[in-house]
Amino acid sequence: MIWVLLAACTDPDPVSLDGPTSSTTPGTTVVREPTPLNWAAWLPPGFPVPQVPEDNPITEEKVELGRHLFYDEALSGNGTQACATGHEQALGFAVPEATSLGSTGQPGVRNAMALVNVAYNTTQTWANPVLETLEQQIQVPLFGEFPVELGVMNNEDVVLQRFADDPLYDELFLAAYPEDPEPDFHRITQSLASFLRVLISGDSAFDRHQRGDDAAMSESAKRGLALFFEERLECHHCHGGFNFTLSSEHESTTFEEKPFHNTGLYNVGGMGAYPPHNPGVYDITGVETDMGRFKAPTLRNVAVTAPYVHDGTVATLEEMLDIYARGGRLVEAGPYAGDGRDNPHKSGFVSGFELTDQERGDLIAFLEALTDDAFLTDPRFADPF
Amino acid sequence: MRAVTWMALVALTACGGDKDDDGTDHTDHDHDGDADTDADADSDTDTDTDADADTDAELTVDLVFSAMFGDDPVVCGTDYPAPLGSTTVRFTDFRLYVSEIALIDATGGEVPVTLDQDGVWQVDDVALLDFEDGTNGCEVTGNSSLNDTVVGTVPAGTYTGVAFTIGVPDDLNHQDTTLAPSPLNLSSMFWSWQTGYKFARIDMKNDQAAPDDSWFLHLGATGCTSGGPTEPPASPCTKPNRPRIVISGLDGGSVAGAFSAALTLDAESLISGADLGFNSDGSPPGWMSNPADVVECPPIFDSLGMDFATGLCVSDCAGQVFVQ
Repeated sequence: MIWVLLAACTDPDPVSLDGPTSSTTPGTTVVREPTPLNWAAWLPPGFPVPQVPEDNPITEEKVELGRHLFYDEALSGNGTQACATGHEQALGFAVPEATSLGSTGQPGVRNAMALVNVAYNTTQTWANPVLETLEQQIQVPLFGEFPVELGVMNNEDVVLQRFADDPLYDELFLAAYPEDPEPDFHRITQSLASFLRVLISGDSAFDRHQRGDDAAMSESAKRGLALFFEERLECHHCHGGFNFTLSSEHESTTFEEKPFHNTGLYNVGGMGAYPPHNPGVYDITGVETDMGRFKAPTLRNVAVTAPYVHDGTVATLEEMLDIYARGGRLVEAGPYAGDGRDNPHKSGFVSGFELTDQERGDLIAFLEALTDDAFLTDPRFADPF
Repeated sequence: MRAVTWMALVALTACGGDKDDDGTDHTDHDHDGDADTDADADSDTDTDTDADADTDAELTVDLVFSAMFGDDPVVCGTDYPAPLGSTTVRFTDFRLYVSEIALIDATGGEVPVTLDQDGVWQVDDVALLDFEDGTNGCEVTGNSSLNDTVVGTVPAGTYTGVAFTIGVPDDLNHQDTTLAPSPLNLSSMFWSWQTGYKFARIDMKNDQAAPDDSWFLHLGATGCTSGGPTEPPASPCTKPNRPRIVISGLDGGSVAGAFSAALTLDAESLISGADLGFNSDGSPPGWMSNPADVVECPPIFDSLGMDFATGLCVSDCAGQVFVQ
């Protein structure tokens, strides 16, 4: 395929040089083969190649189509929201709201997840062991009704027509799918997933420190790094590994794990319940012990993705640390009052700890050293419009 | 086939017409994949000879369903008296998948019906029944097309009943919906959070003011695990929620070479124990097979002859009152 491409690039025939993706001679169309993505150009040093579904090989052209779709409000039923509406690059593709409104104004119940290194996710979203691939997950914001997010359900024809009528998308779809460039939700889904797979962050101060740059992290952050991996705090049991979440997999993964944890955020009624609209994995499985179990997200760029936890009810990193130090959250009043520390389904790793003020500051400094400014400003991930 | 066409016309009248604004007739009662009624008439004539030739080998099967609220047909935009929690109930959607359809022979055994593969309403052993015409409140999730008939064939024989499942079988319930064939490609029937389909979508409005006026009834499998977007689950869903309906005492009609039956889906019986004014705190309005909807779910399961705790039939779903 590389040879085909090279030939196309160096072909002296001017006819095949007059367009980025295709060219026309009377009676024939010369279509350029899509370019397989060169992961080496996207991965930080030492990062493993992500798993990519066999039926959606990743190409440069799908990534570029997916980037346009991600930022395009045409991809919502009423044309008012894009994926990017709920995922801002400067914030690690999270948003500052605790929960978000969908395209029709319907409120959601979950905090928008950061889209950082999602290519490595074992499962997608906060608490769904069934949603394993990005392709599956994308169906939820596209077609979901409870809540409505992009609101494409029953508006497919309108949405597809917008892309069919746009010459820019003629080019993008033709480049990504030269054999059959008609816009449809299979290709839209594949391309969005391809774009999401290249959103890889691995150039934080911590990463430079790991690569031998002793000046990359402050002394405080270095002490925080040591604390993070101590058995006293137990952070790494859930947020371990190169991606700071054990819910990760890559090309060489042999044993897939899908960890979900109850971290003692609620204990409604004292019997372990979480608020009924957000019961965690229990929502999917109906198994009592899955009550309140949510995925540990990556901590990369965590300093810019506030607020925290599945329902966005923790405003700052300091507040989060205090909850873990206490061994669970005390909700003093309101309909969801209860002491999460006593939640019977709570993870054994959330048993509480004591921190000095300096240790607390060191941990925060370490978490802040996971911010990757290059990722947050990378023009390859930016709005193309 | 003429008897089928006649029955279909009766159903059309009951449903209040089925014409799009563009004049296209999307209803395809004889399931030849051709949605144009005029063309259907021609093709029926053309294929009669072929059908007659193998009458000995097989019977054509036509199961005509009507969606009713007691004695009245369910029509979008019409108010019916609600049983509990509201004075009225109005339908904004009324669709369901039926599958694994069989006729009951003289020995009580089930003989599978081979469904016509019409490219629209039926694929593999699944058919979509559609009683909403996309008007008068049904336009939000619905469309203009209607379908009340399941069409197929069985080996020739004497049959006295019908058996079918409400739902999509496991092996088709976890496929890549962006590539699925019709009728498994309707996004309003996707159940993305469980990577499956809504087996039945019966959406209602009660007499309250928005946003408390909605009461949705979505039946689907829960507790599923999946091996991937195109693979069936590694283990079955813990709650299949697929009622198996058996209707006996049918004579199959009087047309030689055909087995016909008229069945009623009675929404009034289905929701007779459901409080349409109640919604569990924080859950979507109505009932979506969600394990958290402990008040909303059990009356619906009772009407379908199922146990809410297991998602399985109780005594072969013999207690169901929905299909008559």
